[in-house]
Amino acid sequence: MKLNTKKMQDLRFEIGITLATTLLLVLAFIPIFTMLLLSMKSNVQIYGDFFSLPNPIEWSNYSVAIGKLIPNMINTLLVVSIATACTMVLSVLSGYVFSRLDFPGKNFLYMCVLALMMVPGILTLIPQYSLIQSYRLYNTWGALIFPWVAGGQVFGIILCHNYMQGLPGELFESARLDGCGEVRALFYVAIPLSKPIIATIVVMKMIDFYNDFIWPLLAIESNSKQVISVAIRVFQASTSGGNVYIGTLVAGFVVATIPLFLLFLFTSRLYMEGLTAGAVKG
Amino acid sequence: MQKRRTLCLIVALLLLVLTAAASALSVSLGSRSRILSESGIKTGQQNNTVAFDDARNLVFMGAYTNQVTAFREADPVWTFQTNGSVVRLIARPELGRLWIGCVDNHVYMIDIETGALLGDINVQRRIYDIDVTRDGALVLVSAGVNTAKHNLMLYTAEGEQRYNQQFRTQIKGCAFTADGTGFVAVNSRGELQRFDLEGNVLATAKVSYEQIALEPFSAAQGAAHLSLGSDGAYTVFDDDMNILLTGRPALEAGDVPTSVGSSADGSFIFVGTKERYLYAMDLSGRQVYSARLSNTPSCMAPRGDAVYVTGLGDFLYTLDASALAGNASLGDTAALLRRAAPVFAALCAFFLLLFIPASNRLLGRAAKALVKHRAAYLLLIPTFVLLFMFNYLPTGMAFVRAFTDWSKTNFQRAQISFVGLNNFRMMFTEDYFLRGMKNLAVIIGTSFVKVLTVPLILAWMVSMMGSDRKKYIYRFLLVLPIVVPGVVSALLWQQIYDPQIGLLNQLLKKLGLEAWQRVWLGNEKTALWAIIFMGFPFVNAMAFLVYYGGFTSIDVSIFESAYIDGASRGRIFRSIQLPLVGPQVKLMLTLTFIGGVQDFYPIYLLTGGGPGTSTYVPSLEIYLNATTFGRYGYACALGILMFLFIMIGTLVNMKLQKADAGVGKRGAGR
Repeated sequence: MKLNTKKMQDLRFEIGITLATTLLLVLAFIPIFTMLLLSMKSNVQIYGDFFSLPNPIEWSNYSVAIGKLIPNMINTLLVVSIATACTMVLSVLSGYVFSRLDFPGKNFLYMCVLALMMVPGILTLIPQYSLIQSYRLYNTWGALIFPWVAGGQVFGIILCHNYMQGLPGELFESARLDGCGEVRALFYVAIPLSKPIIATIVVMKMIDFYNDFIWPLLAIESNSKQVISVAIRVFQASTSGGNVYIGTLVAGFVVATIPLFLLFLFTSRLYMEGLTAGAVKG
Repeated sequence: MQKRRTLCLIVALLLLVLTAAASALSVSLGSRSRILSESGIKTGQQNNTVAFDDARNLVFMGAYTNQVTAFREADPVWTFQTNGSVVRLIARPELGRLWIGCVDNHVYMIDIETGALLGDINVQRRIYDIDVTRDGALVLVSAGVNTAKHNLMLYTAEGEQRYNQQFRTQIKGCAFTADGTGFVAVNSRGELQRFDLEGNVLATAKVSYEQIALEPFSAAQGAAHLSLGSDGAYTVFDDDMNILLTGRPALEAGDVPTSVGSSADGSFIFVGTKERYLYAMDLSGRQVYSARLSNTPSCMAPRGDAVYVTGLGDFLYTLDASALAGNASLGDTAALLRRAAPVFAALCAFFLLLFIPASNRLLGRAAKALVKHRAAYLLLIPTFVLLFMFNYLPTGMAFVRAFTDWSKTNFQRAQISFVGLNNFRMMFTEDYFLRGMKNLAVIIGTSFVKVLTVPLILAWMVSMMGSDRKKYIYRFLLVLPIVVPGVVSALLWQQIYDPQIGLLNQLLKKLGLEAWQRVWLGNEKTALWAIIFMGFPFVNAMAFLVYYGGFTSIDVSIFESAYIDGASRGRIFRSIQLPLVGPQVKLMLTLTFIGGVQDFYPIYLLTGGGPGTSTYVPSLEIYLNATTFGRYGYACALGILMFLFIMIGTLVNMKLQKADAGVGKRGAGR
């Protein structure tokens, strides 16, 4: 009898938390639903009845938005991919050196890297802006890629270092006994074993770079070279002149969201596990 | 051994001498030649343009303040009054005439010796540029009624209109071709166009920026034109519209080019800017000289080996182009020596260290280690080169320049001077910073509450769910909103807060609560809270995942027995689970604090700090000082304060974490 009430209690609890979670979930999705709804309506439909379903669906919103944003989207995908690839390579190389090789000055150099975690981006913003100009990188993609890679690798190196340090040392030992040099051990032992953490770095940095707004706003002047996060803002400013086409604008928001959505569909497990597992240790 | 030591000492001493010689020479070479000198002509006016007559030894100054004055040496000969500023003077000494293009809509033709008016053409539009054929038979005018419509017009010397065409673009420069059979014009669409005398476009070349000035250019192969773009890039092209040369001076951020010119032999090109800079480039586009004038340069006219430089002030400089040529090579040598000096010094120190036995041994050991571990060092090179260029250097710069008056106008290193703690004092005398701190305190306080409630409870609820599949689905859906880019999400919330068609006000209308409707972001009372409310219901994906990791890593057996013993779930949550996710909670508090101090882009996008200062935060002030106000030194000082703020916050947190390491050590596990 007692067991039964316990079971009932369990069931009630399960239903309770499911309902509460679902409620919060729905609330969290309201802006996204609003975005999707507005993106399919014309101005007349929006001003007529804000909450009505789009009838007929205004697909032209999307064709206009895509037409305007596609060059910036291509820029973004290119720049973000290059920067992510470079970040990944440098994180793995330096993470490996710091975790598996021994050399004088190792701890000092690693502390130098760690110390950068303390330096907030807002402090270096202006000097970096001025340095970019003296490096002749202003208004080029180099102005985005180099600082992104330089800053992004810090986090990557620390993650890789922690992860690779956790790998069993015997593997490296036996590789060495088989005549494997330090560099080959990296390619044949360390990298294959560290795939999960490498993938986590890639996904996180991609999302970071894609989301960056202030730096591209400062470092890139021409809209033809600009990335999507700033372009969407320019797009907003350009549509909110005399006649505002809300639908088109919001369709632009949806378009800017699609790449990350696709990325997340394929890598959600990595992202979620990366954060759930390594957070505190990292 | 002893011999080698002596050798080291000798080499070190030699290098010391070399260092001293190099630095002394570089200083003396750098200040050798005098390039700009005063011409002695003072108009007492605000100048704008200059022309001259070699045969009569006259210099004509066209003033921004409505007059043209002729000078012989430094003495005025005659003055001609106009009704607007003079934009262009065309002297034709062989004809004894001077044409004046003036913004009062008139082209005046006057006698070069007496200044008497000989002819007057009213073009009925504001004049931007004029040109006159060699024989003085035709006058070309570019003029406009407004910024969208400009005309190109041709007149005979008698003032009879031969041609007039309107363009839906701005034409700020026009000139006849060398043979006088046509003309060229540059416009705001970046088009360089060649016309015949009937106004037919014969050829067009395209460059990427709006063109704002056109000047003659004497190339070795014959006459050509020199056009200036609004980005500072110049283009040299001939009458057949072949682009011969392009280049661009390295302008300072925010500076705007105003004028362009070249030396008589065409070997140097000058660009003047609004920030009063004059840059000189050689034919390869290398900047060989720059100077800051007392006012914005507006005209550079070559005369013999010299170049007249005048601008919006009472000055006429002669720039010695031949000295410039010397300066380029001297400057190169000086720069080379300046760079060589530290290398010599370093080498000198190196050999000195070799000479001292103790350091010699140390160096030997270091060299051995370097060779032995070369793989490690080589692999680290790219990382540290990047870190140095883009992280350490800017950090160091921020710490040094925070104590200087570095700004948009004091940009070059030579102009920056130390001002002690002035920047830091300014924070407390300017009200903005303190108000920003007050808002920041509210924002951070509320964000602590946000990160400690919804994500924590959600993570707990999801971790308590029955089946793994269900957990996964909820986890996936709760994290999914991170795919919305930050900018989009901020702009979406801007839509939600829109007074007319925003979701929030529409919802209130639907519910019949019109009285509650507000201009959420435009009202000083609600703006800050609207910013804080953004992202409702505050399902912070990162915090959620981190907490979730904490909850799932707790061994179930720890609290299962408590549950079977009849402890309620709430009780278990409070006294068993919550303490065990302590490290995660602290981590999120730290991250929230760091993020809260730094992230200002939602505020930048939604309110820009307003209305008034109701949503102003220090990080936004840093950004605005770096961009709009151009007070870089002050922005660096603010950055340092924020850095200290963050560091103290993080250290306090780390101390707390250390204090109960017993819990902290458990971590999340793997």
